[in-house]
Amino acid sequence: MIDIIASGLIVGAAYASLGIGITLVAKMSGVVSFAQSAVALLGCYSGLALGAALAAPPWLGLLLGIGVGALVGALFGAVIARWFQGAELRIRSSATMALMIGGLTIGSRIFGDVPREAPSLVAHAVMDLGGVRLDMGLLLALGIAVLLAVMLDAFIERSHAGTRMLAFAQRPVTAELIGIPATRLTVLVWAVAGGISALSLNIVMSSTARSANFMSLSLLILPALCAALIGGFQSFYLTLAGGLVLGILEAFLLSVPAVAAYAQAACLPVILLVLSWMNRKEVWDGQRA
Amino acid sequence: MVNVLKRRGLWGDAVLLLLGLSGLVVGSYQAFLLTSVVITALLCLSVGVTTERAGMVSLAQVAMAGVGAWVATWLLARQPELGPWPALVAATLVPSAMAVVLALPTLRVRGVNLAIVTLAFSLVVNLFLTRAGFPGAELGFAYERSGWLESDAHLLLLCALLGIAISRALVWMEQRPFGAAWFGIKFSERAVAAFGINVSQAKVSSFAVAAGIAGLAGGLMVLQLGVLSSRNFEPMASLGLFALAVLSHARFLSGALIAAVLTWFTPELLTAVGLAEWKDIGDLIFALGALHALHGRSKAAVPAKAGDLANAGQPLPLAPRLLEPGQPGELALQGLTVAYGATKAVDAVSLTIHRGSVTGLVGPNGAGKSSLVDAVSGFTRATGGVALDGVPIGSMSVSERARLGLRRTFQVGRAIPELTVGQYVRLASRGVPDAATLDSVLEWMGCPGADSSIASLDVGTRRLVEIAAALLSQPRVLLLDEPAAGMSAPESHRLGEIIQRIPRAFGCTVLLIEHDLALIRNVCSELVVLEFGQVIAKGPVEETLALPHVVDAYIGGVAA
Repeated sequence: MIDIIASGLIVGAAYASLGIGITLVAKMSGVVSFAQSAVALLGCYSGLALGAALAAPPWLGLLLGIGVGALVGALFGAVIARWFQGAELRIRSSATMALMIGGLTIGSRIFGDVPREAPSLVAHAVMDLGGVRLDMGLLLALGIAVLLAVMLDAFIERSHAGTRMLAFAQRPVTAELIGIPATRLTVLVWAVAGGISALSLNIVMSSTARSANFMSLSLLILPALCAALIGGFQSFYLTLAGGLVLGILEAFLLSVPAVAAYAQAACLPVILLVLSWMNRKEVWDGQRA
Repeated sequence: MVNVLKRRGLWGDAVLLLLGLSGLVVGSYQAFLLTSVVITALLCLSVGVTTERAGMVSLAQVAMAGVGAWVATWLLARQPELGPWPALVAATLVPSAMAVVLALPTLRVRGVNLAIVTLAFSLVVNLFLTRAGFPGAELGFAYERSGWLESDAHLLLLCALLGIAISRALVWMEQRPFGAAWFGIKFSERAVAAFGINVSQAKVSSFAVAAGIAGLAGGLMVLQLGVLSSRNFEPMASLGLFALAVLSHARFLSGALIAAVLTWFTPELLTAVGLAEWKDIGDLIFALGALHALHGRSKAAVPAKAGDLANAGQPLPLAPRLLEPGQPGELALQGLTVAYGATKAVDAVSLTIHRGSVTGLVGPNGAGKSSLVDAVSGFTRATGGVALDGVPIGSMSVSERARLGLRRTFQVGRAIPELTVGQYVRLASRGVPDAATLDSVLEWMGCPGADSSIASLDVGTRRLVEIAAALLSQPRVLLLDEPAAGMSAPESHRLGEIIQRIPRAFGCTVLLIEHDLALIRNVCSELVVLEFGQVIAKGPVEETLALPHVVDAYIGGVAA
């Protein structure tokens, strides 16, 4: 039982941290980014490849990965800010789908199909907590996810600078009119989210020790989007909770042989339920008059 | 010849027919490749229905093809004596039915959320195809074509003919309310509901039609390849298809064909010029192309420009003769209340809009005029009674009220730019008017001809088209919400003349909400004044406007 929850939490933490990146972008630049897993993959894999080439310690590879993730994120953010400022949400999000396809194509071109492993950051340490043995990888993954949610929420919702940035992000044209460079703000947000995503992916790869190839990891976008959707693309804490719940649910389904093969499908009924709850009062689209 | 094809929109069909026939002269490999092109074009057409027509971002079209392929394989493997035709029919119908089941819980889900739900569905289908496998795969079953279909050229011809049939069927649907409603829900769900059309049905139907087309494409893949695997239907493929369809305007057959040719010939071309190494870079080109197309579209969505109506200021001709103007309706409100939280936007309003009258409804901004219209037409939840000719309609849905003969227009123009005037009117009136009636009413009101595209009209003309469309549905009561907003003085004067004649010419009672008091004075026989959600005066126009507290409500200036 504890094992199931533990393995669920580690996957869930990955979903949550990727989802937090998506929530950050959605909240601060008004676009639901389908490209987040592509950004994460490009960053994380570059870090791993560079780290291996330089025979650098794991943490340096991780840092390099975060840097490349931030760069790729900034690049994607620049495309969105420059070309799609003021376009409707559907069009902007469709643009991120195109970015995702472009990013994945370039990525699989560079990194190929070969499964890659991330070196463990905490070297199989195990902590004993009241008789329960906890893997340090789990604690690290969970800790990062929680820390991200707490820090982002504290900065954006509670700090003066954060609320101002949020206000500018929601009214980019107004911000430009009073001399705030909204475009640069968007790029910055995407860069931060890119770094976060690359970090999350590295953590999940190293702590689950699961080797996976580039394209199969790109599917992580779906549970990450589901987690962000549970948070309404607004709340970091609900995104965190959503990711963890999805992860644990999947782990439980995996432990039941009859349905294990379909564990990944769990997100469909979950988001259908969440959406029907969230939209229960909504009847009409758009403007009233 | 070329011009005729262009004008009638048959370009794509002609090219597709040529493609289909070319199989008879080219080699087997080319015929095979061209078959793939046509099948991909079908998939793009299905994206054209959900995304380009109905504005719903569906990332499940490749998965629907997978469902179609699975069903077709099942029939071909288990009931080989039936042959390929029932397999194709089943490949079309089963995904359609599945789309209905998927659409029902997602009726309230729009835009990006729908994209996520459909992407999740794609994953589920792919998991199923991977774990359960295609029927007969364990026994090494592979379908082999026989008889007429045995030749690759014939299969190509079949695919092309099916493609043409589908593209024509979609054009046929667009001309009718069934298909025109898809553009409507993309533009504004409210506008469509106000026409008496069931928004949910329109969404479900577009989903189901698109899934049917995708499923058929899957069925054809089985005929083409004999054996398929889950790798043919990966979730990411739906994303790629979506980008491609967006890039090429897959709403049109020509666009879908371009997308399909790009898909299959970019790798061939790269190989031919010695860049076989870089074959996979095609996707990157598509992604960039899609970005470019989306960028263009976000710029192209310019709202209607302002401009004077050509015939503003000219005298209004005699009203056209409708076949039979019906009996105008009487609208009675009893204690109607709309509350947003603690604020009462409409507060216990009781009044009767008399049969055959043009009644004005005025009041300062925020007086509750639009909330009242929303409550009467069913867009806002309200307490109290609304009755049309004595029939209580307060608990009916928007579309039910509209079908009973209660129509409205909106403050913000809601004419659907992607339709022609004729398509729009037929959508609004649910196919009622014959061509002669349609033309005479359009001409009388000074609207452009039925073939003009709404996107090319200015704001004022769009307004007129909306009113014409509402009138042609032969309503008993028409609620006009600031129809003259944004019109110049001559335009608004002419509009007044039209409104004045509505009750007699169309057998319809009018409730006119307007800020323009000159227009109200010219047109209305009775007046209702609202302030803070309450009726503060009602009666004949001039007397009511002269009442001191009405003048006060307008702070003197405007009414003077």
